[in-house]
Order: sequence, then C-alpha cells, then structure tokens
Amino acid sequence: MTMPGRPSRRSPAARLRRHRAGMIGTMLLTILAVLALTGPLLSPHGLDAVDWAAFERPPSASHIFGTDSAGRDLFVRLMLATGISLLLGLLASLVSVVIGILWGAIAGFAGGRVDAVMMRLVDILYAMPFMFLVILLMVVFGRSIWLIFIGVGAIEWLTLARIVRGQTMQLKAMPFVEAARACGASPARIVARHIVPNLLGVVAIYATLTVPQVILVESFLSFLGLGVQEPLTSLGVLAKDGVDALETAPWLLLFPGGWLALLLIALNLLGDGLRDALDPREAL
Amino acid sequence: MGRFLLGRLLGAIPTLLAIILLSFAIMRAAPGGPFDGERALPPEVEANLRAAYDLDAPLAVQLGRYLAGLARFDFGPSFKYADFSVGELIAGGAPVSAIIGGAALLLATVLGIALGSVAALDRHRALDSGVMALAVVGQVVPTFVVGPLLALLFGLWLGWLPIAGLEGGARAFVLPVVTLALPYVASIARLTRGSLREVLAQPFIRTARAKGLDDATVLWRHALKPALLPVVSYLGPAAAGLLTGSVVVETVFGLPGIGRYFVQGAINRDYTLVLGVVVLYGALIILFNLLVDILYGWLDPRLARR
Repeated sequence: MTMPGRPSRRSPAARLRRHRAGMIGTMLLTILAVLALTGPLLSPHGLDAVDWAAFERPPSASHIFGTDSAGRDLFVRLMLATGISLLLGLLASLVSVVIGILWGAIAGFAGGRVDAVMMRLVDILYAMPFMFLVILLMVVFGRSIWLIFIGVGAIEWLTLARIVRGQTMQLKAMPFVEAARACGASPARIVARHIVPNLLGVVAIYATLTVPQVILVESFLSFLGLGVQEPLTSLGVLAKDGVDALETAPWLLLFPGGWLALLLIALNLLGDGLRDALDPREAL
Repeated sequence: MGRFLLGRLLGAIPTLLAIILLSFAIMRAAPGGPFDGERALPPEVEANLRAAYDLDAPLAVQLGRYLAGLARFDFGPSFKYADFSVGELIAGGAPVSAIIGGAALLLATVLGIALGSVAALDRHRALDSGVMALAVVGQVVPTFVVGPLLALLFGLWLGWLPIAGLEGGARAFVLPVVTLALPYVASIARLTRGSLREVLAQPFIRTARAKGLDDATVLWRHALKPALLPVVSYLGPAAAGLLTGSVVVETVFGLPGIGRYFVQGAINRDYTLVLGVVVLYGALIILFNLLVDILYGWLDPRLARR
C-alpha cells in the first residue's frame, strides 16, 4: 500500500496487473475476442450453412447454442456478431478519439476567441438529440455501416474534446512547452509532438470506456432495424431476431443478450482498471 | 435568479435553431422524394403533390414557413398519414410517452437514491457489494433485452401483467416503466453511493455524528443534499436517454407513444413526422437541461449567484 497523496513508482502496466477488476475485465475480453476470431473456424458449421434437420432447435450436442429459425448454428452466428460488434466499436471509437484529441488540443492550445468559439460549438452539439439525428440520417440516406461510424463518431468525441482541452491548458503552462517554443517550434509541431503524447494516458482510459458505448449504440440501431443489415450480423441484430422468436425459442435472445452483457462488463472493468492504474494517487 | 434564468433561456435559442436547421438540411438533402412509390407517378400528379406539400418553393422560403409554423406549434402535414398533421399524431402519442417517461424518471431517481444511500451507509460491505454488483448488471444489459425477458417472465409464464398495448389500464404501464427505468436506477445508485461516501468522510458529518445524531438524521438533514449534486447533473442526460429509450420500450411493448410513431415514420420515410419528433425531442432535452440548472442552483446557491 502506498500512502494517499504519494505517487506510486510502479509502471502503469504493473499497476493494472494488481487491479483485480481490471484483470478480470482483461481476461474476459481476451476470451471473448479469441472465441470470436477462432469460434467460426473451430466449429463444424459454416456461417450461413443451413441444417435442414434442425430449425429453431434448443442447445444440443451438435449445436451447442441451438439453431435459429433459418436452421443456422447460433454459436457461429454469435461469434461472427461479437467480432463485428467489437470491430465496429473499435473503429468508431478510433474515429471519435482522433476528432476529440484534435479539437480539444487545438482549442486548448489556441485559447482566446478560437477556444471560445470551438467550445461553444461543442456545447451546442452536446444539447442535441444525436440518436434521433442519426436515425434521421439513416432514414434519409439509407442504412449503411458508414453512417453508423459518422453518427457514433459525431456523438462520442464531444466529452473527449472537453477533457483534452482542460489537460492541454494545463500542459501549455509547463516549462517544457515554453522550451519548445523558445527553440522555434511551430504551434502545430508543439501540439503534435509535445502536447498530444502527454495526453495519451487520459485518452486511453476514455477510449476504452467509449468502445462499450459505441457497441450499445450500434446494437440499439440494429435492434430498430436501422443498423447492420443481413447477411452481416451484430449482437443487436441477433437480439432483435431473438425477440421476434421469444415465445418459441428463448435461447435466441438469452445467448446474444448475455454475450452482449459480458462484452460490455469486460470493457467497463478494463476501463475502470486503466483509470485507476494510470492515476498515480490511487493506492494499488 | 431572474437574470440567470433569462441568460439560460437565451442561450438555448442557438441550440434549438441548430437542431432545426440541421434536421431540415438532412431532410432536404435526401435522394428521392417521399412520393417515390412502387410505380412512378404521372408528372402532373407529382407536381400537384409537391405544390400541396409546399415542396416547390425555394428552400429559404420553405425553411421560413417551417419555422413560422413551428412558432405556432404547427409541424406540417404528415407525408404518409394523409389525413393527419404531424402535430395531431404527436399530440395523440404524447400522453402515453409522457406517462412512461415521467414514471420511469421518478422511479429511477427515488429507487436509485435509496439504493445508493443504503450501499453507502452499509458498514459490513455485504449489502454494499450486492447493490453495486446488481448496478453493474443493470447498466450493461440493454433495454431491448431486459424488456422482452420481463415480458416473457411476468406476462407469458406467470401471467401477472399485460405485455402489449394499453389494455389493463395502469397495469399495462408497469413493465414498460420498470424496463425503461432499470439502467437509470443502476447509474443513479452508483453515483449516489460514490458521492455520499465522499460527503460522509467530511468533518461536518463527524460533527453531526459527535452530536449523537443517528444514521437516518445525518443522512436526511446533512449528507444527502450536498451528495445529490452529481445525481442532479446526471438527470439532464438521463432525461435525454429516457426519451431515446422510450423509442425501444414503446416498440417492444407495442404502446402507441411518440417513440413508436418515430420508428414507424423512420421506416416509412415519413420525413415531416421524423423531423417533427426530432425537433420536439431536441426542445425537450434543452428544457430538461434548463430545469437541471435551476435545481442545481437551489442545491448549491453559490452557483446561481455566479
């Protein structure tokens, strides 16, 4: 135990390894991701293969999670869906993280009127019912994965921009930034080489916590029939199919719903662990 | 306080305008019109339809007319339900959505604060861990999974509660409200616990305990009010989330609220209906944020005077 207020000397990675919830999250996430990647290869059933002898059958030895109403193996579909949900979550988070860092760092570094205008825009966007605007976009321009990215990216970068701006304003006053400026570095170079690298800790935490948000948004859209479309699938699509067949085949909702919950718990635990590990004042 | 309110109200206007402009722009940028059917319409019929729905005027004029209409709470005609205006459709769904949303917000706030307080005051940690574990589960299991499962359990298997439509009076609202409230109960419980723990560690609470006050009095008289600040600031986003969530809940439980019209409108490409709902929800979210600001000022008078 370290005393509160005295920074720990252990590296963040070592501190994460001592964080029980963080480690549980990491292991769970690893298991889910590895299963999503290897599950379809290990299973004897193909992704779209129809078992003509088993339509909407409960879990059994040959189909461990049962089959859906089209006779497809639910386990294989579920692994594909997990992979796609994770991939969408990671990519959309990456998009929003990049926008959030640039916006926040530029606003914080520039200060003055530029800062005021940029952050006022963030305030306005914050008050918007984005979920509805995304649905409006989907309605008008048709349903595509790219619109999910744009929509989710547009929602999720706002908080990060605020956090990054606050951090940047602190960093800007540090002597090493002064030194860089004295050496003749341009503002763009100072932001890119000196400010942003120092923000990565905060960004890592926030990005980890963004991924589950994105996965939830995507599954919400897919559930309404506005997200990922067949033959591709995602956890939200599977949950929707499960709801439609709930009375006759409850496992079609239970497995995707449970899997989605596990994935979200894993990501949240990992995010909490990272936050504690990167905060040197937290006793670990 | 008057100046504070006025400032907030004026500050909300650009946001509302931005919402309207953006939605309007998206709608008008749409490829294809709302009258693209299975069969191409004869040109003169389409021209008449466009004139009837005011689509042949210049964009600026259309926007001006739309804004003027909004100022009179006129959202224009629905493209798909030819006999109804969007305002009539929204007014028809509003009571159902308002009851579900209001009841869920109330339930989430009361139950969340109660559970969070119990967890924070628990000295033996057993209750605390139990409540917090439940809260984590409540936060990650999505509404569209919880709703159908509750419907299956309490509606189909046990037969206690109706699972679809409005028949059964108040009982018809139990499952939708509980489903909608659950994630917010969980979040508010976590927030309350964290914030109350911090307040309880402060010197003025030790003073109160030293006077011989029991747990309940310390909580009610001293600790709760300052501890609720983060909870109150969460209520703004929570209200927005409840609006979004009611779209799912109304779909799952087949309730004729605004959210269901919204999804139907989205699937039917009923642009005016979707636009009307987006604008209405935007206005509601702004209103909720304003209410939260006022509540905040009451809980922490230093903020209102600033």
